[in-house]
Amino acid sequence: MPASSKYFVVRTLSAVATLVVVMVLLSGIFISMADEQLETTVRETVSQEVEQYGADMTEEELENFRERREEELRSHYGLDDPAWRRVMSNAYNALTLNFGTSYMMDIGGSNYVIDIIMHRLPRTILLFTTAAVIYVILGIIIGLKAAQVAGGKLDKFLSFFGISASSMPMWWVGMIVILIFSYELGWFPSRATPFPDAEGLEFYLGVLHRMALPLGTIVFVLFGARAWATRNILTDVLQDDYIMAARAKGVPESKVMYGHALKTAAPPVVTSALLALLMSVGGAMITEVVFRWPGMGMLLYDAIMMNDVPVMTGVVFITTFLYIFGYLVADLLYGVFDPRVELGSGGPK
Amino acid sequence: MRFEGIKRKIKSILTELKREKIGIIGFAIIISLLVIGFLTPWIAPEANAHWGDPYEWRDHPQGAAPSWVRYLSREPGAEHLELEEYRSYSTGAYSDITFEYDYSYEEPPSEIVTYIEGEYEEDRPMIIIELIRPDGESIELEVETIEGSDEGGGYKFNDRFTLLRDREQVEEIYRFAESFEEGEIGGESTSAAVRAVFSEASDSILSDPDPLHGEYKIRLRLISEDVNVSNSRAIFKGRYYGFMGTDTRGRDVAGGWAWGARYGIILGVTVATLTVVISLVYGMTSAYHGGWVDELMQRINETIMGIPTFPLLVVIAYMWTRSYYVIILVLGLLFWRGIAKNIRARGLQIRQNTYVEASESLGASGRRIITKHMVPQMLPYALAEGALMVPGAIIAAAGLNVLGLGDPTIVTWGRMLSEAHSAGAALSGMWWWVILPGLGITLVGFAFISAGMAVERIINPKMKQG
Repeated sequence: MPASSKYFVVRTLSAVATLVVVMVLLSGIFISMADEQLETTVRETVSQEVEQYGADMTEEELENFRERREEELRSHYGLDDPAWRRVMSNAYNALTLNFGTSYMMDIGGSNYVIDIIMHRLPRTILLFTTAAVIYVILGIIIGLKAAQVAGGKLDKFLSFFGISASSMPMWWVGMIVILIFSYELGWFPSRATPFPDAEGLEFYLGVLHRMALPLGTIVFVLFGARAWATRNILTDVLQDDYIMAARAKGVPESKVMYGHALKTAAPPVVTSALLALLMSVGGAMITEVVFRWPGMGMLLYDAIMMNDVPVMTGVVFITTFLYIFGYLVADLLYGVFDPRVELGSGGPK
Repeated sequence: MRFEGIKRKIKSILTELKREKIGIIGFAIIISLLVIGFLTPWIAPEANAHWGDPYEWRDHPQGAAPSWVRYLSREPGAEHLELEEYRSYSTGAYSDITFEYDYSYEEPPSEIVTYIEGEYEEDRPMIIIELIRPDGESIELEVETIEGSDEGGGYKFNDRFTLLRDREQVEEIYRFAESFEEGEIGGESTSAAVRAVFSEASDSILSDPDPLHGEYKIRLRLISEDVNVSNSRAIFKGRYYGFMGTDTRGRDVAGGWAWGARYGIILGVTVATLTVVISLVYGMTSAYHGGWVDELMQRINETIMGIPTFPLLVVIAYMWTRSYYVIILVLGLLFWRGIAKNIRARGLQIRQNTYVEASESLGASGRRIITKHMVPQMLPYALAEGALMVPGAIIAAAGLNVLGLGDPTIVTWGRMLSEAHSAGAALSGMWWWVILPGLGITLVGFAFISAGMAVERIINPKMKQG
């Protein structure tokens, strides 16, 4: 088997293994907690029934009744099955996207958790991918400029800004952005919902107006680190012999930069951007909460506030799927771009 | 003897470090936060235990800006003032207590609180609280009968009265103001009323008031034949408080911040230490053993690398426990994975060195090779990388608060921010409550990254050329 397809197969299998491990792990936590609650429910139900019907039973009858009811209820709630089997069936349900129905939400005319999530997911993707496109492009442009004059003013500022921005909680920056642009200047609404009650162009402009602040926040927090990473990759590439050879030959600097260097740097730049994107998912979901952007993060927050366990489970599992899938794609892409990658040496740092 | 190598390595790094300016700043921040965190129980002893207790903070001004803001403001507002001294005299028929308040600000105090403590024998005293303005006008704010608790032979009382913001008092103030300017009946606003009390008695006392400066008096009269006041004080809640202001419940942001520093630095140090230790042990074990052990450990590591942190934390906090320490532990047990991989790769390189082979053939034990040859070379790298994990960890832990999954028993920066968010602090312009706790989180992250990067640049000089 050629090395590259072996790499593909092993990576994919490893991602599947991760998926199963994580699903079982999460299901284990869920089941262990749900068990405690169910045991309490069984005990409470039985003692209620004893109070209700047990008035004219003898001691022995009462004991029998109690035992029988406890057994019935325990099998009704599935507590009789061994724990591992319940963990497995829970994990299986999650893997087949069967999260059941929400306790109290009804979004887009359905109370099936998967429908609710599919209603919200596109909004998160809209916000997140728009932001990603902007900050990756911005990062590459600025990173290039900084790499051209390594040690220059822009380079120094970028290193400081990159470090600072990646130490900031994205949602905190969101709160400051609200403070400045909603409270102080009053340019943009602080809450994204409700969406405008209009049609056609007016609707899209309204959504764009509401999207401006969360979008700006994500871009602001992430582009610095992107530019910094691009700059580091490029300065590495620029020290390669063939770049020096090209310069010595008299190839124009812009062509060296955009033609030679950027071509070589593209794979790590793209994959590291993808990995950074995955790392920022949690922060972006909380940022949705700050701006009340009606996506997955907001859904998670609402589910936690309403104690809607099925929805909460659904969001957590779907986020996990997407993360593991994205991680796999990043790794495979890296393998495609760079055939030198060997098994075990892993993706980019 | 065994640690000779490590010592020498650390020493050379320290010499090099002196040339890394940002790195020095990072270490300085870490050390100052360690000092603040260590001293916190003495700096702000009450903040942590009573953060959720509304009574602890009710005499602090609500939503007050940091006190240094006053010097930047063109129209400074009232300072926070506690008056313990008062003039008093009593006749047989009543006791009279007067507080004198010198008002020279543009913004009035937000509320006045008075405490009165004493005892009476039989006859329940009536208390009348009156505000007398510099222009001689007076407003009667409170008339009430005091009821003490029976202490055998007499009744003791210790009562608290809040002035200016109570509904009936606002109506009384409006009646006073409307004798100068016609106001809208039923449209009473608390802030307009409070402002009117401290403004010139003109025909624009409600609509466009000018501050009336001078000496105001709060006069408490207790009418009873046998009352004896032992203590009294008045608090004029200002617009500024402390070094970092207060939140909408009057809690001192500086006190919370100090505790946030303590828990923040605990998280930073714990996560970095766990990361360094686990990645070193795991990576080097894998590299040293080689063969199928190495293969298996690498596959396990890859699996762990695929685990997304955020959903796992949410599930643990929601289903299991919100304990801050458990969350720190989970973060520490997750973040070593990427580093262990690199350590293993470098470990393999070191093993191939001839001097390692030589000492192996001389009969050196595996333990000796690991501690003598591998640890000294790996430790600085692991330290640098471990430090880089801290910002992600502290941001993740703080984020749980915003989702309502924070530890309710301690005060962290994340908790303060989530409270600021739920109280709409950003939308009411309380920037100190929004900016300062987040700055703490950023500071911890920044300090650890810049310290880690400085160490990294020293051990990997190639990056220095940039």
